[in-house]
Amino acid sequence: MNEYMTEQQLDNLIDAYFDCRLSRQEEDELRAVLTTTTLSTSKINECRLEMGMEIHISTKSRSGHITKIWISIAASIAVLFAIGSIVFNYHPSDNNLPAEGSTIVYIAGKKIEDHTSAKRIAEKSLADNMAMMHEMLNDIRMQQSESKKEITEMLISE
Amino acid sequence: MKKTLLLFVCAIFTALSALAEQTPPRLACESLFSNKSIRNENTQVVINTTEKSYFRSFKVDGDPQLVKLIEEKVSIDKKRASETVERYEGTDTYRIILNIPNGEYIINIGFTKINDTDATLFVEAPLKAFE
Repeated sequence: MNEYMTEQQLDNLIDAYFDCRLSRQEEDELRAVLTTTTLSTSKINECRLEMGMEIHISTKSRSGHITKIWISIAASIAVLFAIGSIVFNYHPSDNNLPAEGSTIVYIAGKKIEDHTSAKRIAEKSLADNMAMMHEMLNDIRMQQSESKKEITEMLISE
Repeated sequence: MKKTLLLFVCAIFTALSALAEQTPPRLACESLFSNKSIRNENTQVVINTTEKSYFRSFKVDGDPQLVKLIEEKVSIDKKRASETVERYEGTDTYRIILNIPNGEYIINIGFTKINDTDATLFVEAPLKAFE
């Protein structure tokens, strides 16, 4: 007798059990099969109940309940994580982003109230800094290009 | 059970889409432009935002502590740069340009340390890089 028997074989065995035709050893073996088998019919479950295996059945149902609880917990965590991500990425009022088209200039700690002057200072600052950046980048690229050229010439002459 | 699973899947998708969205870059240098306590007689701050562009500059004359603070902020942002160009001029002057990617945009940061007391810093990018 083993746990891989067919449903029909198991049914026959259960019938024999209910007809009191099984020996004590065969009963023990049936009990072992019912504990491990994945088969589940009303007759099998009835036999399990009859053999005092309610604990096995209730354990199965409890494990399903526990799984449900874990999935609920995971779902709750996922919902909290989603809300957290949205809140973290949402910035309704960033100090560094004033209204579009605004220019603010502070010189020596005092705000320049005249908008035209502020705009002129901002435009000059932007132009100066961009010019510096482009000059620096062009200079570096030119130097890199010259260095590559020199290396190539050296390699060719060798 | 099915409802719980559906909720779980929806929550995961929402969280992933929120994470994938472009987020503001939160540069260390940005705090220099919004921090009112460091605006004094030695500084010039320019905050310029147009419909398309974002520009900030900070100039310090005669304040070694502020120069040091800017250097610290630049060194933090340097770690995020995809390209860095540095140049030393003479004995004191040091310049660095950082290209920091944020989504499909590049943020330019330029720092010039003229000497221990004088320096300038700017941050420039398309406005969308900061949204």
